[in-house]
Amino acid sequence: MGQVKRKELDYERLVLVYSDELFRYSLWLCRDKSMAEDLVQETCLRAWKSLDKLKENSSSKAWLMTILRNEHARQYARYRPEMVDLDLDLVSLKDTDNDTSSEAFALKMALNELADEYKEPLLLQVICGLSCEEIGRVCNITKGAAMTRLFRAKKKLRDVLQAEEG
Amino acid sequence: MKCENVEFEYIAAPDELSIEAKTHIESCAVCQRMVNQQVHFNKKLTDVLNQPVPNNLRHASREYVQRNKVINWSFPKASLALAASVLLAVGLVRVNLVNDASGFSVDRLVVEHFEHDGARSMKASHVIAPTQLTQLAHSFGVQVNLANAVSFAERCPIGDSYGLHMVYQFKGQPVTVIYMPDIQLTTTLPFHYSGLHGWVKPLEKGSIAVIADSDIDLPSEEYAENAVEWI
Ligand SMILES: [Zn+2]
Ligand SMILES: [Zn+2]
Repeated sequence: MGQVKRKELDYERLVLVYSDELFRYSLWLCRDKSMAEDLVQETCLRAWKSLDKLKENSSSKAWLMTILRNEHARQYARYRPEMVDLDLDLVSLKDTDNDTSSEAFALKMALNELADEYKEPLLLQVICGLSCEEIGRVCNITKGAAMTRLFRAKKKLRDVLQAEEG
Repeated sequence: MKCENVEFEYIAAPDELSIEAKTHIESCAVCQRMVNQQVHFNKKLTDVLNQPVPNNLRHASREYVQRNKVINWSFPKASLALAASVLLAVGLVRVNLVNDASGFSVDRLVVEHFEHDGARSMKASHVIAPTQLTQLAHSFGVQVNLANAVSFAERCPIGDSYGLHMVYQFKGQPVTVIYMPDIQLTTTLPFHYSGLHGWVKPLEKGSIAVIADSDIDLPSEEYAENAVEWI
């Protein structure tokens, strides 16, 4: 098999197979559907270009999320002055809503208010299925710190839900 | 193990529980209640986080990469000469569509050249023997004046003809030179890609290409032209 053909297959197997996870992670980072799509595409392109650097298949998901995260940081720095405010964010998230219950809405509000350092480990665990070890690597923190942030993030969200319930 | 430690572990990472925590939960009613609540909460959280994905996302991502992967190509230093020769094939096909009777697609040309000598051209770190170079050059009807600086020289298929593909050290940096006796040009064709620059220049007979990393000075056209001499 040719090298280019093989690279395309690797790319399908290691990158495109995770496009749903990439999009969801991206959506919660960007809080905007079309920005999220752009970010996924840029991530895919960067992944294609550095596919050779990915050695071990088992960590390809974490590797991809790291690329997406770095790319987001880069774009966020660039677009920051035009960043939409929180109200607008919530409107755009409502567009993609598949659950209109008040509980779900409260949970979304709370997620949006969660600081990135807490939100990211949560997204990486729940959406992408990464282990605490992998989350630590993606976010440049220790495994223990990842666990602590996950614990606090979930506690906080659970409190919001409990308040909503009664 | 204490209940609060179990709670911490379970809330933080329910799928990565230690054996101690699992054992504790089996025999502790307080923790079992906590687990039940948490299962319920995790379900809600997952539902909210897993937003629907646009149907065409995978297709759009594939297309986006196809559109952009060549134009914005950036090369790791070590594979420069390789990438350069691939780009050269592309550039030549563009200007020589009429001359290229083989009907090969650009992709195919690129792949063929890539597979033919790719990785090796940059790996060679020692200067090749002068007699070997002379012999090869003679088979192209030329003499190469890059004495003691050529680390790679091979007869390579470029399009439907052959080229003399060389890597040589210019000011201590690797520069790729390809002499193609059967590919004609009318004017010099300079090119500049991300991280890479060079040109293809018509000669009396055929053409010559010079390619290097953008950071690397290119030898002057005259210098390169004099690199090859007819015999
Ligand atoms: Zn207990
Ligand atoms: Zn070659």
